[in-house]
Amino acid sequence: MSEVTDMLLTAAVHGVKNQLGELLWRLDARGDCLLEQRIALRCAQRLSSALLLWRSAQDQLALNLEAVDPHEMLDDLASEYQALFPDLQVVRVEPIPARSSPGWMFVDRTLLSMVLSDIVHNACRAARSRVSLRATDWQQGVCLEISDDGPGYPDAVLDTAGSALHAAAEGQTGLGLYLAGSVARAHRRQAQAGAIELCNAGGACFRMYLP
Amino acid sequence: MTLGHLQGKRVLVIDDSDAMRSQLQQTLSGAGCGRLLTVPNIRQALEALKAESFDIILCDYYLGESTDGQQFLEHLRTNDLISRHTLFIMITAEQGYQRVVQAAECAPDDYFLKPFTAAQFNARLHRVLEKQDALQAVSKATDRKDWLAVIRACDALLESGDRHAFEALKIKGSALLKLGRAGEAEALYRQVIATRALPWARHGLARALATQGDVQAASDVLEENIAEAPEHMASYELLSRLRQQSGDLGAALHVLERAQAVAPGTMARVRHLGDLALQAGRPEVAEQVLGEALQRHRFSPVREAADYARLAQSMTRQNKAKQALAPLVQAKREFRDEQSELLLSAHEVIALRGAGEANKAEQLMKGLIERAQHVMPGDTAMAIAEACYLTGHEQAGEKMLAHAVQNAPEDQRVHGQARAVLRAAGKSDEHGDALIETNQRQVILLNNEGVAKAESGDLEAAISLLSNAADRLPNNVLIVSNAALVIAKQMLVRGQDAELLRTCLRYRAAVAQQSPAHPKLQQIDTLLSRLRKPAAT
Repeated sequence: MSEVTDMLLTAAVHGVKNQLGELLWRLDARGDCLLEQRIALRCAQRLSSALLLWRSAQDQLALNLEAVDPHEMLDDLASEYQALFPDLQVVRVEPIPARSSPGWMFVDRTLLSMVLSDIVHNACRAARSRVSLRATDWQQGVCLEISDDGPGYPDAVLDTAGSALHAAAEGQTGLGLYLAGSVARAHRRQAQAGAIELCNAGGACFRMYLP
Repeated sequence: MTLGHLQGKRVLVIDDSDAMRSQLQQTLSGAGCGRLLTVPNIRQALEALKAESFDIILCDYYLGESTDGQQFLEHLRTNDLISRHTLFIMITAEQGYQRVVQAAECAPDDYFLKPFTAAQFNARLHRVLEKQDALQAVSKATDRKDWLAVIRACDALLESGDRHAFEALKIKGSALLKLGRAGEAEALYRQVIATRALPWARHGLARALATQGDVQAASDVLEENIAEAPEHMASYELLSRLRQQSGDLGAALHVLERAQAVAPGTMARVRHLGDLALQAGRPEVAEQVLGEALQRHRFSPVREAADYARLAQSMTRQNKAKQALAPLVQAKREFRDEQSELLLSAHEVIALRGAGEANKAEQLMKGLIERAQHVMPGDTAMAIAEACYLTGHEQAGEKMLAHAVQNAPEDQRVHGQARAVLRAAGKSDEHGDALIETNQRQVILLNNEGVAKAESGDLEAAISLLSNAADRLPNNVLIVSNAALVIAKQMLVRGQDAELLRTCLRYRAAVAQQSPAHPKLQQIDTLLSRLRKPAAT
């Protein structure tokens, strides 16, 4: 893509996101349009995902690593989505007692927030009453877990576990998982790369391992 | 979430979108801000910042102008236009641009990715304000350039196990380097790297190694950093400077060209690249990079008259003197202050001579010599010197070069420029060396005379001599620091004097700015701390 096309694309994204932002705030002001707010946010996420996919395809997923408090990141995500889904309980839960609480994780905060927002959004849509977010120690890194009490992942999604690009074409869930997998794998420590894992345990359970 | 933290805060919003400005205004005005100003562009933002200070700046990255939010932030930080305590938050629609990592001091405090609901916005702002509060003591000490206090404040955060420990380590490393405590800085960065090889830590380690003279190890660390974090721009810039210091201008230039291929440079990098290209005898590179950058920022306040002067210089060096006149004429219309006028006129004389317009050049030159009697930056002095020699005003040219060398007697760049001017005027390198040596000696004699007067007890004579010299040679840290020192001694003997204290602090600040680890700073501070405050009446 030429520099000019890139500039035009950026300007277009900027324009659309500004308009979506305006829409969100107008809906917010009315106070009775949560569903419409969620749709507007979903549109913005799709746009961001498309751009991220494009950057990832161009091999432009260079990370800007910084020390991030995993609990703080999950707290922020939980409170954001609690406000959008007030009928659910969206909470960060403490680590499993047998496993210790992680200190810092060394991640690209922006990229990680983006892909995790998508996962949490999906979990909120699928959940019956509760979405839990949890950070625990994992080897020399961190495991971030997002689980809900909905119907769980379909078998086809469990099979590909976010690693197949063709599955990403089948909807926002597939694309979100594919990008989460790409961002996890881009986080490396020596020979060890990050990964994601999906399972069904009383609902869908998404885990991201970051070395 | 309520924004109790915003109570009484002064907030500046910069966004080209009317709708976004009004949305942010609506949210923020309900949160009890002490002052809230929204502006649509950088120009108005700069006017506002000249008139008052703000605690928080919310700036859209994409301003629909030639200069983006990042360039604007860099302009603010490098020109010290905002306090370190001021939060600068970049609002962006696209996460892609921030892949390019700026030097730590030019990075925003946070990025807010659009779109967001009012609740999301408030929650993010709340987090950043918490961080601002936690780092308050550090930021205030940074504003005062009191690096010892910065280190103390960082240590306090680290000992208390604060959540901002990594931020504190990053700032502490930088402060240690400012004080010349490179060994301690090296240990700190190695400690961080043992946990994780974060790009800023490796960059800091390279700085620490280079300061201790291990340029090879520093360069290796930087190459490693660039290989693993190719968008860490600060690493290219430091590597280029190290190559330049080793005398390999071609390699230094090549490093910056690699950076330029990753991302278009900020004006600071473009200036560095332009300078380097001119020194390396590659004016075509300077012309291309500066020409593109000035076109991109054509309406922006991040430009300086010196950028146009460099562009013109790169053209005259390629025998395109007639073309070189165009950017100079354009710049003269925009930059009307005395210093810019002198610099641009000097380059105009050079271009006019090159274009065969000897009469016009001579006419302009006469006025220039008359006006160039006072203190001026090294580049201006050099340009005027070159213009003088070209128009046959050798004596005036020699005076300019003498001033430039005396102002920065140890600066190799100034020596190189002086030799180049003399070479272009047909003088031998021996002539250049002699000029540099003579003026280095003169300035040492001047300094010694002042110090001797002070030691013999004639502090007034010492102050008179050294203050005059300091005002004439503001970049000469030896002279300026001794001027501050003798004033402090005088006040210790005769008692505090408001006017003398102001002058002393001004000199001290000038030294701290140019050489934060200068040993005289501590001597000045010790003397000043012994001054008793005047009794209240």
